[in-house]
Amino acid sequence: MPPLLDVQALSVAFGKPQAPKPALEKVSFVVQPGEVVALVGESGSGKSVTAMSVMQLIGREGGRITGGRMLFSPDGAAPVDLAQLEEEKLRRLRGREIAMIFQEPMTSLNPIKTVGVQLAEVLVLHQGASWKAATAEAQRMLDRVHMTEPARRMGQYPHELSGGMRQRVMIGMALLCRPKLLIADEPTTALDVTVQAQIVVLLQELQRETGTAVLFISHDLALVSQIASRVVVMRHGQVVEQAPRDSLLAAPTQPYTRMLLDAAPRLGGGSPAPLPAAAPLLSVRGLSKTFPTPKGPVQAVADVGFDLQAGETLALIGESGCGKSTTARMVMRLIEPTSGSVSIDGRDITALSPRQMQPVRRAMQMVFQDPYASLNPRLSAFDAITEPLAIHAPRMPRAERRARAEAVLRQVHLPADSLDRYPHQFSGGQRQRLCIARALSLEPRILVADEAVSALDVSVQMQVVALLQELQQRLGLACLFISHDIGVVERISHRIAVMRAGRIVESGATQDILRAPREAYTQQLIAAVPRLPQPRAVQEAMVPA
Amino acid sequence: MASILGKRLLRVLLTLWAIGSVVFLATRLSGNPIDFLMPEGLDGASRQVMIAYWGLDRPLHEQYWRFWVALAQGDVGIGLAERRAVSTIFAERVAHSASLLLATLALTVAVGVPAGILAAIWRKRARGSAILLLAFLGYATPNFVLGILLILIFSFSLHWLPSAGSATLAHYVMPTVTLAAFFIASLTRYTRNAMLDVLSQDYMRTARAKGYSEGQAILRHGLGNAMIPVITALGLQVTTLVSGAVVVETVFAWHGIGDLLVGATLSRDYPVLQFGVLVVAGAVVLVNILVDLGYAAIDPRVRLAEAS
Repeated sequence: MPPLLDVQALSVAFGKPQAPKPALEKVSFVVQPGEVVALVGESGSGKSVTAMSVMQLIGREGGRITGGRMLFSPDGAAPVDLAQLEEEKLRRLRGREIAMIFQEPMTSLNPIKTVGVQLAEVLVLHQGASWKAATAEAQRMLDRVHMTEPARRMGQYPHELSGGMRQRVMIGMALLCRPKLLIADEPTTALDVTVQAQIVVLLQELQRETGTAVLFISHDLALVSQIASRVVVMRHGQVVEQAPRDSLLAAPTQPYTRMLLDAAPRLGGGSPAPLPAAAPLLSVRGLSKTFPTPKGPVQAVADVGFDLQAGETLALIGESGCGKSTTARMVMRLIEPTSGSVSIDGRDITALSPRQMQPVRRAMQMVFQDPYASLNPRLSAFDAITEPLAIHAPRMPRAERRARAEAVLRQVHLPADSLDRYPHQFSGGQRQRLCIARALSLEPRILVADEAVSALDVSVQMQVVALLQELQQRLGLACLFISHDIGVVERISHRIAVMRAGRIVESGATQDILRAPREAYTQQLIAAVPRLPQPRAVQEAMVPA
Repeated sequence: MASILGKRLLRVLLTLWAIGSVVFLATRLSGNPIDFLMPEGLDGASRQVMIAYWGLDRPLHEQYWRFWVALAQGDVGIGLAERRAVSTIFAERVAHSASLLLATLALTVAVGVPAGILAAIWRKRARGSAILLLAFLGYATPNFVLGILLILIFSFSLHWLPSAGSATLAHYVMPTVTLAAFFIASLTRYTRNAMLDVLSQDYMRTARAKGYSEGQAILRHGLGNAMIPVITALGLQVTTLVSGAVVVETVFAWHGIGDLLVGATLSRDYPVLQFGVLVVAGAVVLVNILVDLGYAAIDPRVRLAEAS
């Protein structure tokens, strides 16, 4: 029997035919019927381009297939080449034989149509079902993807559902026509770890039930190791290595694969030891925030308190919506707390006037999640880095500013000649370094990092974390590190505070929390983190002789 | 939906009250209206009689009260030029204007929305640029120039269409086209931009992945989303539409409210002008309610926010 999907030397390019920019070069892999294959790689590796090419939707994204074949043969039928198939026939395959789910459950559903209509239309389109029959079938599918109250969900709109529920809807939508191949492009990346774990279990369950083959695309090797039987590692548009999961994890043949495995955050890698007790630099007491909404006030943060001393990193962890970012913003006084105090060196700053606040702001700087959105594209690196100086030290001569900018640029390991470049000329990791450089230009004592490494590739993530640690040791920075990524948190933080529904439910030294969490919620959070299987050498060492 | 309507009606009444008050005060702040209403050189005694007749010697708050009572009773005064009740004059003309505006609106939507969608789909082709060029011309041509141009070509040279009046359907062609040209152009551009935005949305990618053709995906998932900003833009342009109608009605001797107001302004017909402002303001407010309802009908997020 031929493989379900046989991709042979697929090449894809973007840009004008005269000056093509290759995105894929001679990518080959196969997917057998009923098999789960993972495409793994960092951003820009071409894994999503591959997915969109198999769907033959790459043209809409501006890409062109410049070579190779994609032989698709459902149920052992004579293979058709997806690269050559006319649009009419492709449309009959899409959504019926090959279905796809996407990364962004928030935006992949039409906001102005009900869940029921968006599900049922697939059946109406492909099977000519009546709306009534399709609706009944769609509702059964919602039940199969374990949505509570499927009848009510049918009439709801996407914005009324949580991210996890939307992704369940997407999965149900993809499986309605019993496709032979399901392409899942980072289906859990935008979700909390606990929700991610549920979605992965659901995918596995449905995959076993229906025998659908899955092409699972992810940047997360640990996650992939839980679900795929074979792994294809991609980099710069090429396949670096492909092998059955176990042999790939145990004995990667390529240095890049080994680097990915090493960079993958895993628990148990050790944390900085707790610092000896000292007077806190930042002290937060009884901090609360209530937002008015049309449905009544919502308490986003309730009675949060913690201390942070110089040279220490405190991580705030918890799922989205738990109040981590709101807390950070209140500490920075970007939003006003409803009650509570934020003290620096024992001085409460919550009641300071904007003018009194100005010198205090110098001591606290923030780094945000998205390095693409938090740099003004029209400001050069020099302008971006020295803008805080223009606010806080307007009389500093230009030469001195330039010297200061060069110095902080060196601190974040960016070449000094990059001062005159613009944000689009930097990579994602470099931009985040630039954001850190901007925060450092005022020589702050407190750095608030709100998911500062979450948008970065694992290898870059590791470098930025190392940079933050180095800066902390050299400058004695106190760091409030907000993250949902427990692997990174373990690596960087001295202490952890776990937040849930606006409250700190548990806090303590990092290793104490991770090894022996007291709260059931913390245990769930930690258990849900995908882990790489222990390398065989370690497993053997752990077996008592 | 019902509660949204209730809230909106309350807002309409408040708006009309505010506009009425401004009109009331404006006519009294700009000097004694009698001096505008009566011929020059009127003798003092006659002037006093007229002031007493109009109640202009009463305290301001009493005049204000009588102004609203009279308005509520449908007594909006007597037109000075025609010496007939203002309400009667307007009643004769309001249907003319409303039908012209509705015809314009219908033509605008019927041409502008599809043209905008096509311009978005053909954004990289010559056809798309041609649509944009036409839109630019429509945008840039003043309506009185276009009106006179049409009259010269189709009435004087070709004798195909009547140049004045509003008796038959043929009378509608040129005024409607003249008035609509600008709005078709701007709606085309709004629709194109909104559609371009929608085409790159993730849910459109989902629709394509479901197996819809581009056209089906646009009709089923793109159009509704693209219309949300377009409706806003359309609502904002209604005031421009009304002022455009004033010019076009004059050019084509169309017996509507615009034509009436131009005449009333020239002859200082205060009762007519005062009521005209209220009518036009009321129409604009009404259209804005329709826009808001259209919003709520399309976008469930708006419905949810409004209902709570």
